[in-house]
Amino acid sequence: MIEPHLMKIRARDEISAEEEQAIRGAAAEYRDYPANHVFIRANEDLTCSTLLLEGLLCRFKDLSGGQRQITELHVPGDFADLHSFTLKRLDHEMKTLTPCRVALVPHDRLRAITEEHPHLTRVYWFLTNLDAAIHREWVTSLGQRRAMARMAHLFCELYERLRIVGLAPRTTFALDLTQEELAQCLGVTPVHANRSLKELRASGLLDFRNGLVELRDLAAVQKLADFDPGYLYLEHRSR
Amino acid sequence: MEHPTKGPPGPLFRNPRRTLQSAPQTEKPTTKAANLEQLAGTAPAGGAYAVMAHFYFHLRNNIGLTRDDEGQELPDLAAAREYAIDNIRSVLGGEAREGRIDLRGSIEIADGGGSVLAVVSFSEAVDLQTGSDSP
Repeated sequence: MIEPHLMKIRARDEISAEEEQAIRGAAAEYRDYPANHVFIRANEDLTCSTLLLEGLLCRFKDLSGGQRQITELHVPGDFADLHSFTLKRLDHEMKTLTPCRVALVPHDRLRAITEEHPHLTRVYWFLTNLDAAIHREWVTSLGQRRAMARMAHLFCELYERLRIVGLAPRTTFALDLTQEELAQCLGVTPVHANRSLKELRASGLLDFRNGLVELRDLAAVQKLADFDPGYLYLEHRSR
Repeated sequence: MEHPTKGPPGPLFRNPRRTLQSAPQTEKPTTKAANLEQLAGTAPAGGAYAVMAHFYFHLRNNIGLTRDDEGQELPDLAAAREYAIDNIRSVLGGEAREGRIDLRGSIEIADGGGSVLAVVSFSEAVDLQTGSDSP
């Protein structure tokens, strides 16, 4: 059940059978959440971290006027709030976008991993740094890319992130995002997102319809988005 | 002029899941507004959720018609007009960054049956000043 998580790690580093057992033994509980369920509120005390096994969830922040920014999407295999282990509370909310299956990993078990498995500790440090790299790329997108390129870039990113956990074997893959959620990722309004998508579709390079992304010409979409997968650290390195 | 009912086959996006959800722990649309109504005791019997309506926002502008197949839950038509204006400003802002301001466009607000309830023109969304005098 935690295979996507192991795939995500093994795309970047070796982990031993013993380390795999430590990861498998860390989950104290499995839960199924419905779609659109806020499972972490900002500033509440947290004693466990959430490992996403199936579905799609996000980190988001709301402004007092009701505007919402989704700051990162999480795909299966992501330790969505590993950072709560050291932060103890989060400065943002987390919610499911689709029905999700998650594993809850108590912080005391993460502490035990850091004490007994130094290499695994570095791997998890890497995963936190990876989230930070993704945030930097989103900041760059929000500040500098035009809406159409921003959308194309997001599709390129999700293709790579889903591909390494076996969920995008081809350049046509499932992505169950609504127009509103997509807009909240991109810092535009839903009608604006819809307009940008229309332009992308007209280009013939990609389509997004009924929860299915179709990257018809991956190289051309990557060029349009100015997408360089370097920030996803897909290379295998020992840590 | 292209008519909304003649758009491409199939919805561009899935039906929003939130409109299908009513589980107690599930976030409701425009939660803040709903909560404020409840806090103020102005929410009608049955909860604020019951008074939400589903509106669709079809965009007509220089790239033609962009149909909205997903729509949005909002309390009433006045809120839908506000929502349309915010969306127009977002679209115009993106175009302005590319060096073009074209106010020949509108958003049609439609209900689930496809009836157009209101049309908000781009020019209603901005206070436009032109001319050579500096303020």
